[in-house]
Amino acid sequence: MINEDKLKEVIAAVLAVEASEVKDDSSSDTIETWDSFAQMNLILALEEEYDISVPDDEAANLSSYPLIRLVVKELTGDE
Amino acid sequence: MSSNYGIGIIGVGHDLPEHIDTNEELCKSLDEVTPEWILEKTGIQRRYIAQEGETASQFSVNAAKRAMVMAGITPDQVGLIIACTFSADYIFPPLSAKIHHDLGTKNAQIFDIQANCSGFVTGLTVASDRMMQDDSVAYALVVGVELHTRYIDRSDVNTSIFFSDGAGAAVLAQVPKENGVIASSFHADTSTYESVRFRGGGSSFANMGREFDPKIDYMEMNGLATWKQAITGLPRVVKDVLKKSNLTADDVNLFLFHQANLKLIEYVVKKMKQPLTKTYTNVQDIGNTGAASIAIVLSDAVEKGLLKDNDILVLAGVGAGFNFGASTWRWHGKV
Repeated sequence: MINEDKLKEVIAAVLAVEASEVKDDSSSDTIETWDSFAQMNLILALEEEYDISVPDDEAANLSSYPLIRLVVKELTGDE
Repeated sequence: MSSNYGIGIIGVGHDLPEHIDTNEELCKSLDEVTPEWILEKTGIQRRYIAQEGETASQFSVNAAKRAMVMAGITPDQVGLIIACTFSADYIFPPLSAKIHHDLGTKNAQIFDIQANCSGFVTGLTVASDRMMQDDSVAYALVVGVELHTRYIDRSDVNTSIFFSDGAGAAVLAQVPKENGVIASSFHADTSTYESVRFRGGGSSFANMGREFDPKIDYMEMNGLATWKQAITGLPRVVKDVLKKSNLTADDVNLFLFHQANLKLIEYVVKKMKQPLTKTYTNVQDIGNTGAASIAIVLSDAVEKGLLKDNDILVLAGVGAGFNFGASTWRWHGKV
C-alpha cells in the first residue's frame, strides 16, 4: 500500500504548498503553482521517490491527485 | 543501402544578428510579465533580433562560409545545398538558391525543407541519405535559419519571450565507414496541428487584396499544447533512434536538443536518467531560433571543444505540426 500522506508530501514539496493543501480531488485547476513546469518536476520527483518510470505518453496528463495516485499504484505494483 | 564510407559532419558555423533583446527590454512591450518570470519559466535571458535590411540569406551565407572554412572546402566543391526554414527571403525561389548564388557555388543541387524546429535534423538526414546513394555528391551544405521576429507580435507573451533570429550550418562529407551518421528516427503527432501556426501568406490566407490582420499575420502558439507534445514525443524519438542505433542513453557522450526552453531540455535529460552534464544548451543566451537552433547549438558546442573523435552525439528536435526527429552520430570532425 502506498502511503498517501507521503505521496501528498512529495507533491506538495514540488508545488511549494503545504501538504494539507493537497486534497484527494486536487489538480492543476485547484493549485495555482501546478503549472506545466511544476508538472515536469513532479514527474521527476515521483520517479525518484518511488523508483518508477512514468510512461512518456502519461507524463503530461498526470495533472490531478487521483490520476497520480492511480498511476503510482500501478507502477509500484500496489493495485 | 550499404556503402563503403560513412557520412559525417566535418564543418560547422553559425551567425547571429548584432542586436540583442534582453528580458528587461522585451518586458517594456509586455503586460504583467517580469524579466524574472521569463527566466524562471524558460531559462531564456536574451534573444537576437535581425534589424531592417538584414536577411535570412545573409545570416545563412555567413554561417555557411564559417562551416566551409572549418571543413576546408570551397563553394565549387559543394554538390548539395539544403536550407531548412519557414522564413526564407522570399516564398520562392528557395532560399537555397540564394545561398547557392551568393556563395558562388556552381553545380549544386538545391532545395529547401520546411519542418519547423525539426528542420535541421531532417535536413541532415536527407542530405546524408542522398550522399549515401550518390557518391558524386562529395560535400553537402545544410543550413538552418529563421527570422522569427519578422512574424512576431512583441506584445504576445506566448511567442515573444521565446523566439529569436539566426542561422547555423554544417558541411557533410564522406568519412570512414565506422564514423558519421548512425541512424535517424522521425515521427509525427498531428492531433494538435493548429497549436503552433503562422497562416498569413499561406494559400488559404494569401496577402493579395486584404489588409494586415494581426490574427492571421503573426505567429501563434498554444504553449500548453506544445509543451504536452514536446514532453511526450521528444523522449520517444530519442529512445527510438537509440534503439535503431543499438545504443543506450548511457552510451551517448552529448545530447543536443532543439533549444526551445531550458526547463524542457533539462526534463528530457533527467527523464532519460542522464546527468545534465551530457547536454549543452545555449537557449539561455540565444533563445529559440527554430530550424536554426540545433545547427547553432552544434556549432557552439564544437567551438567550445565539447566533441572529440568517436564521441556519440544525439541531435533531437520537435517542430510545429507536430513533427519529431532525432539522429545519432559517431563524431568525426576531420577528414
